[in-house]
Amino acid sequence: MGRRRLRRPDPADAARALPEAIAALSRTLPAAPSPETFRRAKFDHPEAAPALWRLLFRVLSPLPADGASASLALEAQARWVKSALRSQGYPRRALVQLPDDGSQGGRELLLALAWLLARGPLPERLLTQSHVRLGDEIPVCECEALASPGLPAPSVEAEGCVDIRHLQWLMGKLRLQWRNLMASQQEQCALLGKIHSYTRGCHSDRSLGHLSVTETELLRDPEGGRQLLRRLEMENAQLEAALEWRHRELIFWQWMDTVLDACSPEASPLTFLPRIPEPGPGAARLLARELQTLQEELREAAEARRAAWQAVVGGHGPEWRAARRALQTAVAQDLAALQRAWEQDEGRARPHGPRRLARSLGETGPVSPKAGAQETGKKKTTNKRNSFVLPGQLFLSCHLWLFFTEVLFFRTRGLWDFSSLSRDQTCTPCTGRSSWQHVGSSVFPAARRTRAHALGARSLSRWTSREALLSIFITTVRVCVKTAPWVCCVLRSAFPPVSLISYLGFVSLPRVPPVASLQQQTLSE
Amino acid sequence: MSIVTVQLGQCGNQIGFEVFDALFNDSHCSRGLCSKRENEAYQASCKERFFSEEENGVPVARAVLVDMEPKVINQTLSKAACSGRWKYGQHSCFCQKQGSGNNWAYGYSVHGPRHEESIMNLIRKEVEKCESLSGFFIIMSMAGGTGSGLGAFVTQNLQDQYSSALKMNQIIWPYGTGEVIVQNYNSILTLSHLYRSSDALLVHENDAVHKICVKLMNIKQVSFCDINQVLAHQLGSVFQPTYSGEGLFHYRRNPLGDLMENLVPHPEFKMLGVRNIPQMSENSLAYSTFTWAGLLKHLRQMLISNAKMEEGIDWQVRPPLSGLPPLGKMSVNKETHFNTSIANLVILRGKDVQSADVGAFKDPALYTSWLEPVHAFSVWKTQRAFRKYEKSAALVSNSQSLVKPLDMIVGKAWNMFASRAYLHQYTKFGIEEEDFLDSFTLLEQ
Repeated sequence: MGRRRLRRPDPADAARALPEAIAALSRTLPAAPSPETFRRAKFDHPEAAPALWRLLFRVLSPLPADGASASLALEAQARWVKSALRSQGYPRRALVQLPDDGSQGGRELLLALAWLLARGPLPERLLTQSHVRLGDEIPVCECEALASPGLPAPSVEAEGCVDIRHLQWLMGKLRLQWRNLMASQQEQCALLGKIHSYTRGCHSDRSLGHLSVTETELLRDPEGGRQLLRRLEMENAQLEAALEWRHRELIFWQWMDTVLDACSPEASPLTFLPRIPEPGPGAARLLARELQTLQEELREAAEARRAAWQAVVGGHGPEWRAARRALQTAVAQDLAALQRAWEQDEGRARPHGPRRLARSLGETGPVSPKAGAQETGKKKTTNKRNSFVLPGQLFLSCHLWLFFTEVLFFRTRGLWDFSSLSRDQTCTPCTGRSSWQHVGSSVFPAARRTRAHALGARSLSRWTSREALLSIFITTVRVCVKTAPWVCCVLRSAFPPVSLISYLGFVSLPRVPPVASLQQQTLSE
Repeated sequence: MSIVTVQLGQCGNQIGFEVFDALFNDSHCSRGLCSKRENEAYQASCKERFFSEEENGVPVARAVLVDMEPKVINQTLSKAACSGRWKYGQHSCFCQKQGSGNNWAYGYSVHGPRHEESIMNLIRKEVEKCESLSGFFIIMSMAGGTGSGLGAFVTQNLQDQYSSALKMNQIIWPYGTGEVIVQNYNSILTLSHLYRSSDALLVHENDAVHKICVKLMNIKQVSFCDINQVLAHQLGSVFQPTYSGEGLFHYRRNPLGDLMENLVPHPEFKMLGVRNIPQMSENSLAYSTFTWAGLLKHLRQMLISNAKMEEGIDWQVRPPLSGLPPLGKMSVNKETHFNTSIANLVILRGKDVQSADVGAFKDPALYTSWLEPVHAFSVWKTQRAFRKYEKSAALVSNSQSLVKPLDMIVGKAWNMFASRAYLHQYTKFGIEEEDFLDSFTLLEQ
C-alpha cells in the first residue's frame, strides 16, 4: 500500500482502481459475486439480480448460514430480505416493489447493499461472526445482541381447526426438549471441566494453563489440525481483503454516486408501516371501549384484593408502615451496595460477547506472577481475618477496657480529647503480615508510645508513684493480653464492672477500631 | 449420561437385580457380531449409564434399593455379590424390619414421611456419583404395599427435588386374578399419583409375561424368577445403547430423554408398553434364523392386534382402510380389536440393521388422526446384537393396549369402593375417601 501511494497517479491505475476495490469487497463478504456482476447490476441487467439477492440474504441473516437457510428458495430469500430491510429502516420503496422471484432489480439491490455498508462496519461484523474460535467459549454478558430472533419460519397456514391434542403434544415435546437440552449442557460443562483438568499445565500461555477442546483435538488428530490451518488461512485472506477494502473505499463510494444518479429519483423517503387490515372505525371504537372497561374492572378487583389483604394483615398503624418503609430502604441500600461491589469487581467496562473459559488456578496449580499475587494476597488476608474473629472480640474488648481505664485516668489530667475517637477507623489486619508480626509491631510501639506519653505527661506535671504503678500495670496487662487472648477472659471475669463499661463501649462504637491505630491517632495530638 | 435406578419393594428389587444382570451380561457378551471398536464403545456406553466404577474395577450398579422387609434385599445383595462380576453398593440400600401389609396407605402416609430423609439421602449420594444425570428409573409393583405406596411417595419427592430430571416408572401390572384382595385399590391409587408426578409409565403385565414364559420359552413351572428374566430381557433391549444420528460408534447420550421426547410429550397419555421379538429359550436359539422383514411384519401385527408375543397373533386384524375415518381413542372397535397408537418407537439390534425396512410402521392408519406418522414414529438402530440374538427388535408404544386392563381394574375397584370393602384399612392411615374419588376421576380421563 505504501508503495502505491508514493507513485504518481496514472490514468490506467484509476481505471483499474474501481474493479480492484470491488474485488476486495467481494473477497471480504461471504458468498459475494464477482465485480462483473456488480457492474451489470448498475445497468440493471437481469442476470445480476439473483446473485445480489443471495448476497443480501447472507449478509442480513443474524446467524451464520447453515444448510437449512441456504437451501431456501430464491423467492423465500427475496421476501425475507425485503422484510429484514424494512425492519432496519431502509427508505427506498422501489425495493419493496421488486418482484419476489428475484429476477429484477439489480440496481436497487446494489443501493441496498451500499446502504448497509454505509450504516455500520459490515465486513468487520461478518468477519467476527465467522471467526475461527480456538478456545472453549461461553457468552458472559446478557445483552440483547445475543437474543437475536433468527429467521422467521415460513408461516404454515392452519388448515381449518387445529386439534388441541396436537398442540398439547407439541407443547409437551418442546418442554421435554428443553429439559434434554439442559441436561446435555450440564453434561457438556462436566466434560469440559474434565478436559481442562486433564490438560493442566500443557498450554504455552501460562495464564490459561490448560488446553481447550479444539486444541486437544489438534493434538490427537493431525488431519483436523490441517483443516484448522486451512480455515485460519482463509480467515487471514479475508482479513487482508477487508484491509484492502478499507483503503480503497473512496472509489467505491464515488461509483455508487453514479449508480444513484442513474436511478429514477424518489418522490420522498417514506417510512413503512405494517399494513393493518382495516376493520372499520366502529370495530376499533368497540375494541377500545371493551379494553377500557376491562381495565376498570381489573383496577377495581385489584383494589378490593389489596384492601382485603390489608385488613387481613392488620394495618398496625404508623409503626408498621414505618417499619415496612425502613425495611424497604434497608433492602434497597443492600441491593445498591451489592450492585456497586459487583460493578467495581467487574471493572470499568462490562464484558461483552463470548469469553474463553479458563479453569481458575487453585492452591495446587502454578500461580502466574501478575494474576496470582493479588489473589493469594487476598486469600491470606481473608484467612487471617477469619482467625481473628473470635479471639479478636475478646482482644478488642480488653483493649477497650484498658483504654477506658486510661482515659478515665488521664482525663483528669486534661491530656486527651475525646474528639479523637471520631477519626476514621480502618481495620489494620489487612496488611498481610502474620499475627505475630502484627503483635510485635503494635506491642513495642505501644510500649514505646506509653513511655513517650508518660514522658510527655511528666513534662506537664509530676507523676505520683501511684500513677506510675498504674501505667506500668496497664502496659504489662496489655502485653499479656496481646500475647494470650485467654488472659482477656480471666481479666474480664475478674473485673466485671469495668468489663461492662468496656463492653458497652464495644457495642456503641460504630466500627470497632483496633486500639493500636487509635493510639497512633491520639498520640499525634 | 447416567440413569439412577430406584428399586422399591419385593417385586422391584427382584426385577432390578435381573435387569442389571441382563445389562451386564449383554455388554460383556462375546458374540456381539460387530467390530471390536464398536463393542468397546457399546460397553463403555452401557457401563457409564448403569454402573459406576469402584477402586478394584468391579462395576457397581447405580441403584438404590428400598424395602421394608430385609429378606429380599439381603437376597438380592448376596446374589449380586456372588456373581463376582458386578455388585450393588454397600451403602445404597435401605430397609426396615416391618412390612407394609399390602396396604398402600401404610406405604404412602406412614413409611413415606418417616423414612423420607434417609431414602432421599441415599438417592442424592447416588446422583452425586454421576457426572451427568439423565434421569431416574423407578421399578415398583402396583399391587403390593411397599412398592406402590412408598413408590408413589418417592416419585413425588423426586419430582419436588429433581424437577428437571426425567423420571420413568416401571410398573408391574398385577395378575387379573391376583392373590392380593386389595390390589385394585392399590393399583388405582398408585396410578393416579404417578400420573401426576412421573413423566412416563412403562407397564408390564404379569399375565402377558407369564404367557410368554409358558408358550415361547417352554417353561413348565413358571416362577417369578423366570418372569423377571423375561422382563429384564425386554427392558434391556430397550435401554441398551443405540446409535445417535451421527452414525457408527456414536451412541445416544440421553436414552431416557430421547425416548420420552418421542413417546410421551402429551401430558395425558403417559403409559407405554413394550413388545419384543424374538423371545425364546436359549436352547432353541441356536436353531433359528430370522429375517428383518419377517420380524418386522410379526411385530407390526403384534402391535395392531394387541398381542404381546409372536405366537397366537390374530392375523385377521387389519388396519382400517385409509378412506375411512380412523377410530378415535375411546372407541375400541369390537369386531377388529384394532389397536391405535399415538406414538411408536422401534429399536432394532443386530446384523444388517441398515437394511431393515420399517416403512410398514409409518402407515398413517396405525396412528391417531391428530398426529402425523412422521412425528409419531421413530427408529433406533445399532449393529451390535443383543444377548446372542442375531437380530432382535423391540417396540415401545404409547397405544390403546392398556385401556382395557385399566378399565377392568377401575371397574373392580369401583365395585369394591361402592360396597365400602376394606376401606377402613386405608382410612386408618389417612387416606380419605376423597383421595379415592380423585383417583377415579383422574383415571377415567
